[in-house]
Amino acid sequence: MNKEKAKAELVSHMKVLRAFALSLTRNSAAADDLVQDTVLKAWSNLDKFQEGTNMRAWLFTILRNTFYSDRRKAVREVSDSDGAMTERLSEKPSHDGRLQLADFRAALAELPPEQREVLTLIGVLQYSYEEAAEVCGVKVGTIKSRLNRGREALTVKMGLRDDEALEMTDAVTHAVVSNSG
Amino acid sequence: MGVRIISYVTMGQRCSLSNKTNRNDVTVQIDNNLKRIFAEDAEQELPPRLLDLMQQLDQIDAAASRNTADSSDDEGLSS
Repeated sequence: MNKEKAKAELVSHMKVLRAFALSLTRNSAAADDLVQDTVLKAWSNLDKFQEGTNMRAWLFTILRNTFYSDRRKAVREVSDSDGAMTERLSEKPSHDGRLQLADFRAALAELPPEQREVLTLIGVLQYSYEEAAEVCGVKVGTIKSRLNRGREALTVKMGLRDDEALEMTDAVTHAVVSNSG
Repeated sequence: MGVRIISYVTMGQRCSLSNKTNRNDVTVQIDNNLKRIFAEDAEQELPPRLLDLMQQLDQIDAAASRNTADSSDDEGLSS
Protein backbone atom coordinates (compact mmCIF):
# COMPACT_ATOMS: atom_id res chain seq x y z
CA MET A 1 0.00 0.00 0.00
CA ASN A 2 1.22 3.49 -0.85
CA LYS A 3 2.71 4.99 2.33
CA GLU A 4 1.21 8.43 1.84
CA LYS A 5 -2.23 6.97 1.30
CA ALA A 6 -1.81 4.64 4.26
CA LYS A 7 -0.70 7.49 6.48
CA ALA A 8 -3.65 9.63 5.47
CA GLU A 9 -6.05 6.82 6.26
CA LEU A 10 -4.28 6.08 9.52
CA VAL A 11 -4.57 9.71 10.59
CA SER A 12 -8.26 9.73 9.72
CA HIS A 13 -8.85 6.86 12.20
CA MET A 14 -6.82 8.30 15.07
CA LYS A 15 -9.61 9.88 17.12
CA VAL A 16 -11.88 6.88 16.88
CA LEU A 17 -8.93 4.62 17.64
CA ARG A 18 -8.24 6.65 20.77
CA ALA A 19 -11.91 6.53 21.78
CA PHE A 20 -11.80 2.75 21.41
CA ALA A 21 -8.61 2.67 23.51
CA LEU A 22 -10.37 4.77 26.17
CA SER A 23 -13.30 2.36 26.16
CA LEU A 24 -10.87 -0.43 27.04
CA THR A 25 -8.50 1.31 29.45
CA ARG A 26 -10.77 4.02 30.98
CA ASN A 27 -7.55 5.96 31.48
CA SER A 28 -6.28 8.65 29.13
CA ALA A 29 -2.55 8.07 29.65
CA ALA A 30 -2.93 4.32 29.18
CA ALA A 31 -5.10 4.94 26.12
CA ASP A 32 -2.46 7.19 24.57
CA ASP A 33 0.24 4.56 25.20
CA LEU A 34 -1.97 1.97 23.61
CA VAL A 35 -2.69 4.09 20.54
CA GLN A 36 1.00 4.88 20.15
CA ASP A 37 1.98 1.20 20.30
CA THR A 38 -0.81 0.33 17.87
CA VAL A 39 0.25 2.97 15.35
CA LEU A 40 3.89 1.88 15.51
CA LYS A 41 2.96 -1.75 15.02
CA ALA A 42 0.59 -0.95 12.18
CA TRP A 43 3.11 1.31 10.48
CA SER A 44 5.94 -1.22 10.70
CA ASN A 45 3.68 -4.00 9.44
CA LEU A 46 1.95 -2.09 6.71
CA ASP A 47 3.00 -4.72 4.19
CA LYS A 48 0.68 -7.15 6.02
CA PHE A 49 -2.33 -4.92 5.55
CA GLN A 50 -4.38 -5.99 2.58
CA GLU A 51 -5.38 -2.95 0.57
CA GLY A 52 -9.09 -2.73 0.02
CA THR A 53 -9.90 -4.32 3.38
CA ASN A 54 -11.11 -2.42 6.41
CA MET A 55 -8.16 -0.54 7.93
CA ARG A 56 -10.14 0.53 10.97
CA ALA A 57 -11.01 -3.07 11.80
CA TRP A 58 -7.34 -3.99 11.31
CA LEU A 59 -6.25 -1.20 13.68
CA PHE A 60 -8.92 -2.17 16.24
CA THR A 61 -7.67 -5.76 16.16
CA ILE A 62 -4.06 -4.70 16.74
CA LEU A 63 -5.12 -2.31 19.50
CA ARG A 64 -7.28 -4.76 21.44
CA ASN A 65 -4.74 -7.57 21.07
CA THR A 66 -2.01 -5.24 22.33
CA PHE A 67 -4.24 -4.24 25.24
CA TYR A 68 -4.89 -7.82 26.33
CA SER A 69 -1.27 -8.81 25.71
CA ASP A 70 -0.05 -5.95 27.94
CA ARG A 71 -2.68 -6.81 30.50
CA ARG A 72 -1.59 -10.42 30.66
CA LYS A 73 1.99 -9.28 31.14
CA ALA A 74 1.17 -6.75 33.81
CA VAL A 75 -1.23 -9.15 35.56
CA ARG A 76 -3.10 -6.26 36.97
CA GLU A 77 -5.89 -3.91 36.07
CA VAL A 78 -4.86 -0.56 34.68
CA SER A 79 -5.68 2.00 37.33
CA ASP A 80 -6.92 5.52 36.89
CA SER A 81 -3.50 6.90 37.80
CA ASP A 82 -3.83 10.35 36.31
CA GLY A 83 -7.26 10.90 37.76
CA ALA A 84 -8.60 12.10 34.44
CA MET A 85 -11.59 9.83 34.50
CA THR A 86 -12.23 10.48 38.16
CA GLU A 87 -12.10 14.19 37.53
CA ARG A 88 -14.54 13.84 34.67
CA LEU A 89 -16.86 11.75 36.82
CA SER A 90 -16.78 14.26 39.64
CA GLU A 91 -17.68 17.20 37.43
CA LYS A 92 -20.70 18.97 38.77
CA PRO A 93 -23.56 18.02 36.49
CA SER A 94 -25.26 20.92 34.76
CA HIS A 95 -28.53 19.04 34.45
CA ASP A 96 -30.06 15.61 35.01
CA GLY A 97 -28.89 14.26 31.67
CA ARG A 98 -25.31 15.11 32.56
CA LEU A 99 -25.63 13.41 35.94
CA GLN A 100 -27.12 10.31 34.35
CA LEU A 101 -24.36 10.18 31.76
CA ALA A 102 -21.70 10.44 34.47
CA ASP A 103 -23.41 7.60 36.35
CA PHE A 104 -23.59 5.59 33.17
CA ARG A 105 -19.90 6.19 32.53
CA ALA A 106 -19.08 4.99 36.03
CA ALA A 107 -21.25 1.90 35.60
CA LEU A 108 -19.60 1.15 32.27
CA ALA A 109 -16.14 1.44 33.82
CA GLU A 110 -17.05 -1.32 36.28
CA LEU A 111 -17.66 -3.86 33.52
CA PRO A 112 -14.92 -6.23 32.39
CA PRO A 113 -13.10 -4.86 29.31
CA GLU A 114 -14.24 -7.90 27.31
CA GLN A 115 -17.84 -6.74 27.75
CA ARG A 116 -17.03 -3.04 27.18
CA GLU A 117 -15.33 -3.75 23.88
CA VAL A 118 -18.26 -5.80 22.57
CA LEU A 119 -20.72 -3.13 23.71
CA THR A 120 -18.63 -0.57 21.82
CA LEU A 121 -18.15 -2.61 18.67
CA ILE A 122 -21.80 -3.60 18.36
CA GLY A 123 -23.73 -0.96 20.30
CA VAL A 124 -21.74 2.03 19.06
CA LEU A 125 -19.94 1.12 15.86
CA GLN A 126 -22.72 -1.14 14.57
CA TYR A 127 -20.45 -4.09 13.86
CA SER A 128 -22.23 -7.33 13.05
CA TYR A 129 -21.75 -10.25 15.44
CA GLU A 130 -19.50 -11.87 12.84
CA GLU A 131 -17.33 -8.76 12.42
CA ALA A 132 -17.00 -8.33 16.19
CA ALA A 133 -16.09 -12.01 16.53
CA GLU A 134 -13.35 -11.55 13.94
CA VAL A 135 -11.89 -8.47 15.65
CA CYS A 136 -12.01 -10.14 19.07
CA GLY A 137 -10.84 -13.52 17.84
CA VAL A 138 -13.70 -15.40 19.51
CA LYS A 139 -16.84 -17.24 18.40
CA VAL A 140 -20.08 -15.45 17.56
CA GLY A 141 -21.75 -17.12 20.56
CA THR A 142 -19.16 -15.58 22.86
CA ILE A 143 -19.84 -12.15 21.39
CA LYS A 144 -23.59 -12.54 21.95
CA SER A 145 -23.01 -13.74 25.47
CA ARG A 146 -20.68 -10.83 26.35
CA LEU A 147 -23.11 -8.35 24.80
CA ASN A 148 -26.06 -9.71 26.76
CA ARG A 149 -24.12 -9.86 30.02
CA GLY A 150 -22.85 -6.32 29.49
CA ARG A 151 -26.31 -4.95 28.80
CA GLU A 152 -27.79 -6.85 31.72
CA ALA A 153 -25.11 -5.52 34.06
CA LEU A 154 -25.68 -1.94 32.91
CA THR A 155 -29.43 -2.36 33.29
CA VAL A 156 -28.98 -3.53 36.87
CA LYS A 157 -26.30 -0.96 37.78
CA MET A 158 -28.37 1.91 36.39
CA GLY A 159 -31.63 0.57 37.78
CA LEU A 160 -33.12 0.99 34.34
CA ARG A 161 -36.81 0.39 33.97
CA ASP A 162 -39.14 1.03 31.10
CA ASP A 163 -40.45 4.21 32.73
CA GLU A 164 -37.01 5.73 33.23
CA ALA A 165 -35.89 7.45 30.10
CA LEU A 166 -32.12 7.65 29.93
CA GLU A 167 -31.97 8.57 26.31
CA MET A 168 -29.71 11.55 25.76
CA THR A 169 -28.47 11.12 22.24
CA ASP A 170 -28.76 14.33 20.34
CA ALA A 171 -28.11 15.33 16.75
CA VAL A 172 -24.44 16.15 17.37
CA THR A 173 -23.80 12.75 18.94
CA HIS A 174 -25.54 11.02 16.11
CA ALA A 175 -23.48 12.94 13.57
CA VAL A 176 -20.19 12.05 15.27
CA VAL A 177 -21.03 8.37 15.59
CA SER A 178 -22.28 8.20 12.02
CA ASN A 179 -19.17 9.89 10.68
CA SER A 180 -16.89 7.65 12.70
CA GLY A 181 -18.31 4.52 11.10
CA MET B 1 -64.33 -22.34 27.81
CA GLY B 2 -62.89 -21.84 24.38
CA VAL B 3 -63.31 -18.12 24.70
CA ARG B 4 -61.59 -18.19 28.07
CA ILE B 5 -58.56 -19.99 26.66
CA ILE B 6 -58.30 -17.55 23.76
CA SER B 7 -58.59 -14.66 26.17
CA TYR B 8 -55.87 -16.12 28.45
CA VAL B 9 -53.47 -16.69 25.53
CA THR B 10 -54.07 -13.18 24.29
CA MET B 11 -53.19 -11.71 27.69
CA GLY B 12 -50.06 -13.87 27.84
CA GLN B 13 -49.04 -12.67 24.44
CA ARG B 14 -49.65 -9.10 25.47
CA CYS B 15 -47.52 -9.58 28.56
CA SER B 16 -44.75 -11.20 26.55
CA LEU B 17 -44.90 -8.46 23.95
CA SER B 18 -44.80 -5.81 26.65
CA ASN B 19 -41.74 -7.34 28.32
CA LYS B 20 -40.00 -7.64 24.98
CA THR B 21 -40.77 -4.01 24.18
CA ASN B 22 -39.45 -2.88 27.56
CA ARG B 23 -36.28 -4.88 27.04
CA ASN B 24 -35.84 -3.33 23.61
CA ASP B 25 -36.40 0.14 25.06
CA VAL B 26 -33.71 -0.44 27.66
CA THR B 27 -31.33 -1.78 25.00
CA VAL B 28 -31.91 1.31 22.89
CA GLN B 29 -31.31 3.54 25.91
CA ILE B 30 -28.08 1.73 26.74
CA ASP B 31 -26.83 1.87 23.15
CA ASN B 32 -27.66 5.56 22.88
CA ASN B 33 -25.67 6.31 26.01
CA LEU B 34 -22.77 4.20 24.81
CA LYS B 35 -22.82 6.26 21.60
CA ARG B 36 -22.93 9.48 23.56
CA ILE B 37 -19.90 8.50 25.64
CA PHE B 38 -17.96 7.24 22.65
CA ALA B 39 -18.77 10.42 20.73
CA GLU B 40 -17.53 12.55 23.62
CA ASP B 41 -14.27 10.62 23.69
CA ALA B 42 -13.89 10.71 19.90
CA GLU B 43 -14.41 14.48 19.89
CA GLN B 44 -11.44 15.09 22.16
CA GLU B 45 -8.39 16.65 20.58
CA LEU B 46 -5.46 14.31 20.14
CA PRO B 47 -2.68 14.86 22.71
CA PRO B 48 0.56 16.46 21.44
CA ARG B 49 2.54 13.23 21.57
CA LEU B 50 0.13 11.46 19.22
CA LEU B 51 0.13 14.45 16.87
CA ASP B 52 3.94 14.37 16.92
CA LEU B 53 3.88 10.66 16.23
CA MET B 54 1.72 11.21 13.17
CA GLN B 55 4.12 13.85 11.88
CA GLN B 56 7.14 11.64 12.48
CA LEU B 57 5.79 8.47 10.88
CA ASP B 58 7.61 9.16 7.63
CA GLN B 59 10.90 9.35 9.47
CA ILE B 60 10.39 6.20 11.45
CA ASP B 61 12.39 3.43 9.94
CA ALA B 62 10.25 0.35 9.59
CA ALA B 63 12.94 -1.92 11.01
CA ALA B 64 13.53 0.34 14.00
CA SER B 65 9.88 0.58 14.83
CA ARG B 66 9.55 -3.16 14.42
CA ASN B 67 12.05 -3.51 17.25
CA THR B 68 10.14 -0.99 19.33
CA ALA B 69 6.87 -2.74 18.83
CA ASP B 70 6.38 -5.87 20.84
CA SER B 71 5.99 -8.75 18.46
CA SER B 72 6.04 -11.57 20.99
CA ASP B 73 2.36 -12.33 20.64
CA ASP B 74 0.02 -12.75 17.74
CA GLU B 75 -1.51 -9.30 17.48
CA GLY B 76 -3.64 -9.67 14.42
CA LEU B 77 -1.21 -7.90 12.13
CA SER B 78 -2.46 -9.67 9.02
CA SER B 79 -5.63 -8.06 7.75
